[in-house]
Amino acid sequence: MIRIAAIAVLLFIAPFRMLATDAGQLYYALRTKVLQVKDYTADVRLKIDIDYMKIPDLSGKLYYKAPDKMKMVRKDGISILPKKNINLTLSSLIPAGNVTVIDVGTATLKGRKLRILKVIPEEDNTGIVLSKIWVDEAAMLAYRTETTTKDEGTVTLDLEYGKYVKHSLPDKIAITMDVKEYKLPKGVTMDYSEIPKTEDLKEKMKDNKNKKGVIEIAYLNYVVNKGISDAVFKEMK
Amino acid sequence: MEPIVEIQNITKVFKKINAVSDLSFSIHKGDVYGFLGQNGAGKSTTMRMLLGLIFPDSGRIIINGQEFNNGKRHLLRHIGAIIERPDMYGYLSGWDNLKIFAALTDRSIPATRLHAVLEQVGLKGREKDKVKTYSYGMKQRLGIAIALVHEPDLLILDEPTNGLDPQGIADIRELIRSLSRDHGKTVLVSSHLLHEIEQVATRMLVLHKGKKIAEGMLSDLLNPNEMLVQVGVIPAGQVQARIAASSWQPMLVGASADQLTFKLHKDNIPELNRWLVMNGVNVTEIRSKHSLEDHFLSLTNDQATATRAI
Amino acid sequence: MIRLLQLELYKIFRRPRTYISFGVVTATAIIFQLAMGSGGKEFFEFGMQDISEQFNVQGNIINGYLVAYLILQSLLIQIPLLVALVAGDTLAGEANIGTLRLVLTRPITRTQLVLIKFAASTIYTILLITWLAVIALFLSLAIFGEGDMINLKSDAFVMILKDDVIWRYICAFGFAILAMTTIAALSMFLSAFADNGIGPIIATMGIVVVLTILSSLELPMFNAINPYLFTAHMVGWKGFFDADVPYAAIRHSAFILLLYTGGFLGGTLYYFNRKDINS
Repeated sequence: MIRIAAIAVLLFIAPFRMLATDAGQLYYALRTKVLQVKDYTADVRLKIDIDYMKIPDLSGKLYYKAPDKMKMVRKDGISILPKKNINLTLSSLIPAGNVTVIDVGTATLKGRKLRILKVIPEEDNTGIVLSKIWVDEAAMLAYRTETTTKDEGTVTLDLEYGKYVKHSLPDKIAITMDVKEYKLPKGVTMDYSEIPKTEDLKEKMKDNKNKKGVIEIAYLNYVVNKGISDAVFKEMK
Repeated sequence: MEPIVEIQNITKVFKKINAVSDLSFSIHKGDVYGFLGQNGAGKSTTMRMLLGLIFPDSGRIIINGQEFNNGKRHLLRHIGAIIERPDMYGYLSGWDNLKIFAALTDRSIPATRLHAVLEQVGLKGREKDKVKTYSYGMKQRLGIAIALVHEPDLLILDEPTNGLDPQGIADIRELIRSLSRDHGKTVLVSSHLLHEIEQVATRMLVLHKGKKIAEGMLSDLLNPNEMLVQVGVIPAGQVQARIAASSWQPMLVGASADQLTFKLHKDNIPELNRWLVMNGVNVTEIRSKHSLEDHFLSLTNDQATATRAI
Repeated sequence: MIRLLQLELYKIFRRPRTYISFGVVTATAIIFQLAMGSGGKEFFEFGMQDISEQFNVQGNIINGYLVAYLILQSLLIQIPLLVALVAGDTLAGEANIGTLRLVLTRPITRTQLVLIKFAASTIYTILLITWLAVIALFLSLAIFGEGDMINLKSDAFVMILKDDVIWRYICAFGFAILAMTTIAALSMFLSAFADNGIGPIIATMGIVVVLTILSSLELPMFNAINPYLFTAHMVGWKGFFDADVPYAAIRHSAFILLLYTGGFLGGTLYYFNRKDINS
């Protein structure tokens, strides 16, 4: 459905396609820069802000290997990352291969004037239907992407840069994504019903469905392009 | 002399049945007080009330001059008891049982006392065995040891010879006598068998359907006036008519075709015999019963409603 | 009093029956640990379906802390039975074997006797829960190792960092002791009415099971009484495994449990001091 809509949009804007050439160059240049990072290891601090997930901030080591391998490791601990298709890297949220790029003007984000590109992949192999990217043209950095996927809804990635700007690697990212409902029968969990209640759970349950969740990752340091064995990404059983 | 225990007009009703009715008696120091009555006569109920196991509906219990109730359970230090069966912790040794029950007092009892009391009841050497391996008689003796261990003035033994073999019965009897004679203990002992009481008691009380029907010194209760004499006769002629016309008539308490029963003084037996022979009665047998048994039976059977001080 | 308590405990711990409880706790825990060792991940993933759809949860999920929690949860129903096994037998069991008669001919007050038996039952409960802690928590930690603990609630996915767990267990076991002491008091109260130990044990279980069902049914007609049922408060130990520990609710639950314990104990004292011992 989303794909059909995207094609419709594509057909509608076809006459303006020529105008987008600069935008296309900008996108490809950005992508080339982003894809220069083949792998990295980083100490991270993960903050999950989803209503039903009561999880403290998690410190761990994040391993990334292009194109789509990612893993967080916490010594003796449990790591929680969103599922593969929406990796927490820019590279996986911007479409690969041949794309159609549309310049949809500029916008100011946190005091920064950015160009907004709409990118529609021409090949159907990433699950991405449409990506909207906020780009700082001078610095050649993406500050926000809004990616519509086939299966996982829309994912928004906000990026902040600092020390690792030369690798186009952010110091901090925030991912906003759709999260599905969570519920287990009380007969199974045998919960403790608080009396008096510290929060009204019933009230909270009402808007539990299809809410947005935000995951923030602070990158404390990076080790870039030093090579990582595939074995690292094998899931522990 | 002040009584150790004084029971004043106690009554206990269980489900509309009078278990004990308006019962009064006193036990004095040195008594071996026999408590006689059939099963269900109220002996155990009375003893339980005396021990604070059951609460009387009315009446007073006075132990060593103080009124006893649930708030005055310390008075029980003057009493040692086994009620009905000698039930113990079967999974523990005799020694452990004794130790546990000895501790259930308000003073500490040294181990030497435990040994002494085991010696006294003849359980020395078996105290380390588990009680579940004991015979009934051994349990009974351990029960008595427990009742004695805190050196009470009064020992309450409810049917202590029940379930024992003849040797066991004799041992318990001897133990009771020795406790009274050698250790100066006062004993309240119950039985449904008169001869049990007869052999150990100095005083006794006969209880029937919760009521006292007789109480007194054993020597008084063994009044020779109350001797029962059974005379076997060959039925002939007008034996009963002749007796009816004689001075023996008031003493005749039962008559059938071949047996006459008189209640009379022991000294009168030869005279009765002479009179019968002289009057042509063929006597086949004369049996006199010098026991409380018949007295007890007659009391409980015939005169249950009348309380008599003998 | 101390001497009598020692002897009461001696009586309890010389009885083979007492060790059934410790055996049951051990067996249940070990069976659970074996099951979690072989198929724990699959079992747990079932509960995590909603989460796994969207998230990659990796690491030592089936760790000692989680296994201990699951053991505690499954023992929720059994432990009251095990407590009742001893506490329900305190008065009635002695009535049954006939020793109560002999005990009560001794010069101690009935109040003393009840308090000693309650204290002994409480100590037994503490030891049982401590043993549960050793076997469910420390043995599980030895087998499955440490790790962050996941707690699946009906409306929340809670994760507690491994360094943040152990104090929660200490509090939870403390609370469990309080809850089980209430069960001990209930059992003893029922025990005062009976002349054999089976009745109070079964009655305790019956009450706990029926009230637990009432508590978990969440039917509107029962919701009004639910806050007053002690069974609803017995699971208060779980509160310590919330992300934000609901201290006010736990305090309230503890208070209700104490109230019940006091009530049962008071009821026992009242009735037992007036009871005719006919056994």
